[in-house]
Amino acid sequence: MAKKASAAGPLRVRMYRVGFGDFFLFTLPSKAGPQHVLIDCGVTKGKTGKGDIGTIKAAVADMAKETGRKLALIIVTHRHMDHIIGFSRCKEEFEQFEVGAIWMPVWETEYEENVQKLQAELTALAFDAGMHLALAADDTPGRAELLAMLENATGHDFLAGGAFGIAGTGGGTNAASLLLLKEGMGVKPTYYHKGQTAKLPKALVDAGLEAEILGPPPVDELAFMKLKDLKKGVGQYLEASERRPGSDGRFLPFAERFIASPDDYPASAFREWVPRGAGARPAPEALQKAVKKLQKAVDDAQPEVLFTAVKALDGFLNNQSLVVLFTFRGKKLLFAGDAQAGNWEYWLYDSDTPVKAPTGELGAEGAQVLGHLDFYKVGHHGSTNATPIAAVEAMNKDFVSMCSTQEGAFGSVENQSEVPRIPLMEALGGKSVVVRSDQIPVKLKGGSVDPVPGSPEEPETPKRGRFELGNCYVDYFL
Amino acid sequence: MSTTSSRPVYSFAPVATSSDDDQSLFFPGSDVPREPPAPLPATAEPPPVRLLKVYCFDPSLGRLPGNVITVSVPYEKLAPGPVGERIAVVDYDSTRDCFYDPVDLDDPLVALRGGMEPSESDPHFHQQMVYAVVSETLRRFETALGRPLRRVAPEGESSFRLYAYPHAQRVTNAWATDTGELAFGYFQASAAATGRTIPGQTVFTCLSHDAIVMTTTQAILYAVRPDFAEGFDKHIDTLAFFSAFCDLSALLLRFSHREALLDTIQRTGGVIYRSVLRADGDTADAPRIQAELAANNPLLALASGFGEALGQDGGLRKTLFEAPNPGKLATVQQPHQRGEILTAAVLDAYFSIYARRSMEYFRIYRSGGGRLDSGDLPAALSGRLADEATRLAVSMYDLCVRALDYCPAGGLTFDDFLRACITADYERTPTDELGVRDALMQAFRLRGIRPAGAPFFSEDALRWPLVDPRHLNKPGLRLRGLPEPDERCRQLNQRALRAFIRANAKALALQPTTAFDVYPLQVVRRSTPDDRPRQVLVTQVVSRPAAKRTGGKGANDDTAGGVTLVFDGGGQLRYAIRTGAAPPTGSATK
Repeated sequence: MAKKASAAGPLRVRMYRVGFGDFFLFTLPSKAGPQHVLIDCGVTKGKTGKGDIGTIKAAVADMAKETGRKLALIIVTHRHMDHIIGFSRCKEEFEQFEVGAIWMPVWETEYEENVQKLQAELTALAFDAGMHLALAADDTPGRAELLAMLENATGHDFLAGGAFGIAGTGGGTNAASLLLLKEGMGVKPTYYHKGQTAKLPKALVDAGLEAEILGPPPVDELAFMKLKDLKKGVGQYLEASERRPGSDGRFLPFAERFIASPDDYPASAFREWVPRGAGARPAPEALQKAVKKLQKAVDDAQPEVLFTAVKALDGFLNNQSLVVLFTFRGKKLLFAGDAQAGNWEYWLYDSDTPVKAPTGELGAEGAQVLGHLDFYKVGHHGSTNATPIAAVEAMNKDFVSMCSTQEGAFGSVENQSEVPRIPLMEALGGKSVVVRSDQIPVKLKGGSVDPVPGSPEEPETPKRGRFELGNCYVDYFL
Repeated sequence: MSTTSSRPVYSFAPVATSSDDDQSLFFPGSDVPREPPAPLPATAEPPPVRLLKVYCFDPSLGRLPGNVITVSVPYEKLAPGPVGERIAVVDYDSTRDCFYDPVDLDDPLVALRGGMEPSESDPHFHQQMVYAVVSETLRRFETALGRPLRRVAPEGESSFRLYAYPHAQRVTNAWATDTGELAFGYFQASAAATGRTIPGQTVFTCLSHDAIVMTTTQAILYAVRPDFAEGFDKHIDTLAFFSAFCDLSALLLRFSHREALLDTIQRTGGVIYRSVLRADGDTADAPRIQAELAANNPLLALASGFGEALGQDGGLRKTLFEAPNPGKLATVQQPHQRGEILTAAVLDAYFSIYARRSMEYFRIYRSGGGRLDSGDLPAALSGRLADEATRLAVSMYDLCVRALDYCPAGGLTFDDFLRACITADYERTPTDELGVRDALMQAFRLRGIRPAGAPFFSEDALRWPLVDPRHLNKPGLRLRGLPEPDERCRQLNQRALRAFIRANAKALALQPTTAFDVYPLQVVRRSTPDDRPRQVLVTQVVSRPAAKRTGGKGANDDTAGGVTLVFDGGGQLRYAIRTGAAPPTGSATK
């Protein structure tokens, strides 16, 4: 069993093993006793349904016992299910907590109508995409991945049962979690973006903690927010591979004699896209434009376009991640949420515009942060798009990386999309001691979960500090 | 009588004239012109309906009796496409980036034949089928709803038009968008294809009657109840309801086609909800020829050809006819599977009423010496049973559509829908002679759908509570000019509604400080069973997220959702319907 952090003891980062999702408890000693910071609490089943190992309720119960239901600070990095579903799934438990402060990304603010509207549109897009799949067959390209992303975006169980043969989830939705966090914890959240000064609760200030907000970019920096991927092979640990299913041209549904042109249709067929006139037949140019708009409307519904839209939604939400750098007694701990390319680039480079293949030197701030790390919470569960190559290269050596993940939940080795991405883990392993949550054995009263095959017996010994294994977590004392 | 007019004037009374050269052909002395009158311009009335052939199921069932039916759709002049006033079929294929030649249903050669004959290889028939089924679905929905379809939004309403793409792209899917586009994919059947579909053959989703009805219904729901989308994120039932309502529409409209029912009635001895049809040929041992094979009842499968092409025996939905399991509601979260629970409940009610009604026919038949053990039903009895099943299907479909006006605003749960059905049916048929309401209640109860806010599981308790008008300010609606209000009338009513909601927010269980979206007042005209016209006014009010939070531990979601307001023909509020069924202050259960 892990020891409790004491007033004079080291700081501790606890990573719970819940499957594919973040659940971190950061504890630091203080004269008033240990102070606890909870960073995210979520899990998702993923594309294959293997992501949720069913331990989150037990983990929350453990955390409640450990903290005495008192948290100095809750940090919610962003609104994906694998970061927040635990709050509504364990609502009764969380409602008993005493919470000093809640931090959320600026994208959760209720005070900016445009931000609210955009978030509502993103949610609507997720549900619309779900409805688009109403009659979709199992072999629709990317269907499983789409559904997994939609589930992560909403917390609704798009994947349960059916072709996947998976039982229902343990309850909760993203909306319910957000509502609880914003309305039900007895404290008003503070919303942050890069450039703002973080206001820590007094108990943490007294303990000697400092915090700096590195991401997300401000809401008007949409170009950065939209940049989710860097150039393959240059910016991220992925090689280029493109596919466009169904467009091989060999499969013809009808004989050539049925091919026609837009001119064979009456102008009224394109009425929706012709600017409203006085009822006269539209000019040929206007009609041509209308035909193009119609073609675009149908094109935009192509599966790969839908796929792209949902991926963009997924990336946009990830880029909303609140990225926090903690400093405690000179030790630097970086929690990167699921930040993707644009979020990283905004604070990594001195550039006003995002680029897919950044080649210049890191900015002074980026180099300073990454060159002096003691702890790094691996971004986006070790996904290829969340820790840029340049960032890894700029990191110092001999720190500890913790990656909350579940092998086999998303992606595949064949497509170079496995999560965690092997080349990234190897690159990080060259700089730090990497501990993965899916390599921790879980031994609870209700059952046990084995480490994924090929896991080390125990974590490698770090240069600084030590690891201790718990029944469903691993502690790093520093 | 003037003779100066050049207009021919006809008179049957001889009139004396002084003209010597009077050589009238008809009546000497009259002012009838010498030449025979020019024929009057032809004023032939357009036919009220256009008859078009469609598949009642899909091509996979081939010439199965009842698979090819003729539907009558409201007549309108059509341009090639077909492109009409409210439906434009545009055959653009985005996979191949080409247009397909449009069918011209007004071409005399096509019209004389009664439209195109069913054909899988001719896109003209595909276009005809999409047009016909969409048109029929719109007509049936409108008839049930009691008002013309309009696209409503908080800021106003606009005309309703659908764009249908029969071969939108190569994909195993068909869908509708919230802007009124219906897209149908085509694909090659998988290697595991079952039934009559062979692996590799081209399957067109636009030839599936179910797929067309489902997508059309989806587009209609987006247009008439856009507020439901607000509830997608609040309760999984809202999304599941969307799925279930589209499925139900496809199934009930199919049962309303008499031709499709007759064969099934014969092969099930009138028990149309039996899952297997009797084989044509009797056999004492294992079947050896196809005529001895018992087939699945196609009436009970949804999009069966689509499902078979994907290797799923029995269509898209799997669990429609499983034994009721009240525990399932607590465990099934996937929207389509959850929706199947609701679909099954409504179908259960439909079949139960049919079973009860058909029993009376069987009794009459037996009392006249008829025997039911011979396997064959006489044509007259089959016909009456088909009539009964058709009539009940139309009635059940109408009820489900009417219930939309009695569903809460901004999302709903399954039990809300049950209460909406009970209320809508009561409003039309207070006596419930067919026992529809009881059948619905029991079918829902068997599947674990029990309203949480109702004190009892009785009809009275499940019906939405009537509003006591004494506790409310007058709405002040302008009723003159309804049901076709001009723009000024619309604006006045919108203002009156806003004022009414502000003044009565507390009584309507709405937060007075919350901002509202108020949907345009819809004027519904329906008839009672004794054909008396009845006018009802309906609107939805949805609260928008609060700009500032109240905070506080344990605060709940009181500001979310909304309320549906139903006024009687005199403009008096009759129902204020909120999800969760808690009666608003000032309401009184009748």
